[in-house]
Amino acid sequence: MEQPFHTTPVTLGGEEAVALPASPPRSPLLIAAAKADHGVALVCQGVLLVTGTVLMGVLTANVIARYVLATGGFAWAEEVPEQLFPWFIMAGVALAVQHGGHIAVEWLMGKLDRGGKRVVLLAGHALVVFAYLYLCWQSLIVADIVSIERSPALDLPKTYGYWAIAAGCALLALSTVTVAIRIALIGPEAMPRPSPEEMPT
Amino acid sequence: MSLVLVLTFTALMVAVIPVAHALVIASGIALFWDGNLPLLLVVQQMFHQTQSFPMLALPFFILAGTVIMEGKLGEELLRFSGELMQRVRGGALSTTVVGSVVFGGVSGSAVANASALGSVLIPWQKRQGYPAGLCAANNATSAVIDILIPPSIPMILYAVVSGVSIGDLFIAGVLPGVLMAAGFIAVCWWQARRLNLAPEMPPFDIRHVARLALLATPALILPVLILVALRFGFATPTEIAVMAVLYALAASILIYRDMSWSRFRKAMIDAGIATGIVMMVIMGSAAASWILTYDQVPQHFAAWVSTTLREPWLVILAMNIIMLLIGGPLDLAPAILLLAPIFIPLAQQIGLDPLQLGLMMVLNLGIGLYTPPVGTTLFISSTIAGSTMAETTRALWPFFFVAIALLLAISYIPALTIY
Repeated sequence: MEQPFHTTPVTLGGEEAVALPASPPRSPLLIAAAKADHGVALVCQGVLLVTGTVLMGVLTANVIARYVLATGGFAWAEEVPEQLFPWFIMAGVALAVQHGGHIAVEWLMGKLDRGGKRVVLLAGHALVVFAYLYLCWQSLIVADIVSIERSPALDLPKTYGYWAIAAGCALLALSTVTVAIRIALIGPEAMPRPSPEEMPT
Repeated sequence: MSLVLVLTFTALMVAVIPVAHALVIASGIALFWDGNLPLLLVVQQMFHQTQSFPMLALPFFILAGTVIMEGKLGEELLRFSGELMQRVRGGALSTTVVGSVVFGGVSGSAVANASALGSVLIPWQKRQGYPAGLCAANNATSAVIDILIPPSIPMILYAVVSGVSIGDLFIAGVLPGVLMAAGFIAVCWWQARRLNLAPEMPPFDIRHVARLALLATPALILPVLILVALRFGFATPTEIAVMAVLYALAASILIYRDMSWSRFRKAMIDAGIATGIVMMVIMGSAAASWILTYDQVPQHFAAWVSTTLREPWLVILAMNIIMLLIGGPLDLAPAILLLAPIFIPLAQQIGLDPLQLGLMMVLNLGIGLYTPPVGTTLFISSTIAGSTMAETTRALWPFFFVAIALLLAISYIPALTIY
């Protein structure tokens, strides 16, 4: 029987793939959007790698310590994830915008012509940018309020976690702006599509 | 306030705003409309979800799955599945089913499974003479077995919302997963018989099979290790997820020698993006759930349904129909996060175990992943197979029938999930 394992994996795309022009016009806005995306991606990827690796190390060390130390693990082991997990999440949230990962119901897109799609997408992106800039501001207010709450073992304020939410909201808004610029200048086909590895369920 | 929330959320979702953002914005608008509650509540509820220790299991189970599936270990798993099934009629199709069971033991994502298995197996199945639509339908439906076999990302989501133990859910998913695989293999056999496609019978080489089994063993025993560790309480589910990553990395570095820094970097970033997508929905739905709970909507809904429908079997049927209708257009993660807080009080009122409801919900909303015309695995599989949606949908019905039969069995026979 012929074995299936020598075949070249088929890349997704087909008729639904994003059909960008062979050489899209390089307007200054598009170049600025690409640079902004590059900067956001570098920051978010760095945060993901550092926080992900540290979280993995701390949790592993705590399991080992539980069976080795008489104290039954490190007192600070649960506080480190409380501080780092918000940064890991928000870096993933912002990066997911660039990859088109946030799940949407696209029923309406099938009913509209190209111009209609562009208008709907741009209006939606404007609303998202406004909402998350507002949330960023609200997060900074709460961060200030909770600065007096400190963790028992590490004596760290809760502020840092809210800063992660604020930073994530700001980066999400910025990434949404760059996607909106592409939709405005290229068209609705410039909407990014996620790869299956990035789909959680 | 809840009515404003629901109407705004629906309008924003129809306007193609991502579900997570629609939840956050609709919650903010509902609080603004009420006027008596501060908008800071949205941020507080969002932040609260990032402090959940069980949620940390998500990125690490995703990471472990990515490390295994994208490396040589995943290839060995697939090779072993093919070897097991090739002497059975419909074996080429059944390889996808068995592959989904064994991949389910290392990955918790049906969409990733549909893409990984489909891209390798569908072209091969087409060359064996199977129609493209049938290959796509088989791939789209089998991928959902992945979320019934532990570890399962949707089960972790349900566990966090419901308070049911992650370990109990994982254990409860095994039997339904195996039953679904058995049903799908029967469909593959019947389709091959109908198409008059006989299996090739290569000579059985026990040494070759043993070698393949040995190479696939590190991945095959991972789900067993996870279940044993959970059952005997060696560590929390989050810590076990981290151990699964270390195990996958150790196997990849020491046995298969295919790990590199760039592969690890990509796997961690993919896991981060997938976590960000799910967590954003969780954070948004936390704000929305707070508003619904403040207005006592779940309690009112439970009271209304139980007085209107009266009979528990009718309530269970109604819950299933609602989930099937919502699971089509809405993705699995947001559907669980939105429906679980409403259905759990209802289940408690009619004496339905939340564990059983969890399995019902994961399987039911999993069916939504291949319900035409918008199912994610259906779309991915049709694209890989190069079949039209109509061709895939025509071939889908026998698989759909098996899945619905299993759903009804899980819904009305507690022994299938509580054991």
